[in-house]
Amino acid sequence: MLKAILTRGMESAASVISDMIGRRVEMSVPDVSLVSYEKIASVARHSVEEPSVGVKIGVTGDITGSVMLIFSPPSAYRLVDILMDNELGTTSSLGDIGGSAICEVGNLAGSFFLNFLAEATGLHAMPAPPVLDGQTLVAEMLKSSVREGEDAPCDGNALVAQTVLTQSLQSIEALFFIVPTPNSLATILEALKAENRRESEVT
Amino acid sequence: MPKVLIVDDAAFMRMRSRKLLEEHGYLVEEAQDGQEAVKKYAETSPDAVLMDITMPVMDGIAALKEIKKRDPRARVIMCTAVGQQALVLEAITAGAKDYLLKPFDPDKVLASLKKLVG
Repeated sequence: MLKAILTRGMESAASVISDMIGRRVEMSVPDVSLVSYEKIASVARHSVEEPSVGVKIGVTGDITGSVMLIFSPPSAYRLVDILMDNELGTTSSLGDIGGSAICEVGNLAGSFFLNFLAEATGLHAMPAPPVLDGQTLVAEMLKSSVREGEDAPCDGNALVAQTVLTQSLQSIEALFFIVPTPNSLATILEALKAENRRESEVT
Repeated sequence: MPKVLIVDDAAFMRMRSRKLLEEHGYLVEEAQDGQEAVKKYAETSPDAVLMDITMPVMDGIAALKEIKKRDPRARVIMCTAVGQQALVLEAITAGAKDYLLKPFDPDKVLASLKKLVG
């Protein structure tokens, strides 16, 4: 059930990216897993080993933590070219406007995902202004996110969903990570169970 | 020529909105957070404001309240991502004239502005 909810939430995030760039974005969710904080880095290492462009959105409310949308630099540059109506290959580094464009994509995708999660669980989740990280290893971003969101000892688990967004002609790929704090993870799982029970009672 | 103040912390969104509005005959002023918006509003007396809600320093709701306190006739359109209905409700209660969901549909932006300022 968890994977189904997250997949639908990420479809919602993918749809807003499609709306923004005016082209269809395909989405797949190769893996949704609960992993210990210590193993987060190794999960990320399977995906991207090079410095990446990431947008982190803090989450407040009943659920706390962060969601992150992460691009390889070539994908980020292609996305900027599309958003700015540039000829492909024009962008080779993120300036102020390019970084802002990537940030806004992350902001909207994160907001749509959180909205879906809030509706599915009945919980309140508010996004904070997005923060762009231009040149950091994915593993370091995730570890930093966990440290910032910590509200329990470090022996807890995090929910890591990896998503691949692909714009067919331009091959834009991104990863989507959800890193709730340990207490929030328990809250999400409990809310989903309760919703499931309610649906069973109705049917 | 009607003047519109665009308030958004995202430079990309300000650039996109400016392009759209200038192409349709509006004069444009910009601010990158609520605090700057309050100052710019006092300095430039725009006919309407397009105000993002989630911003650092001072958010859109706080800026709306401050602007309405100084000019009760201010015409402010709030802009927000989906899922912030509670904030939209608060903004309408505080005097916002309309709200727009991001990502923007250019036709809706223009229709909302036309309704307010022509």
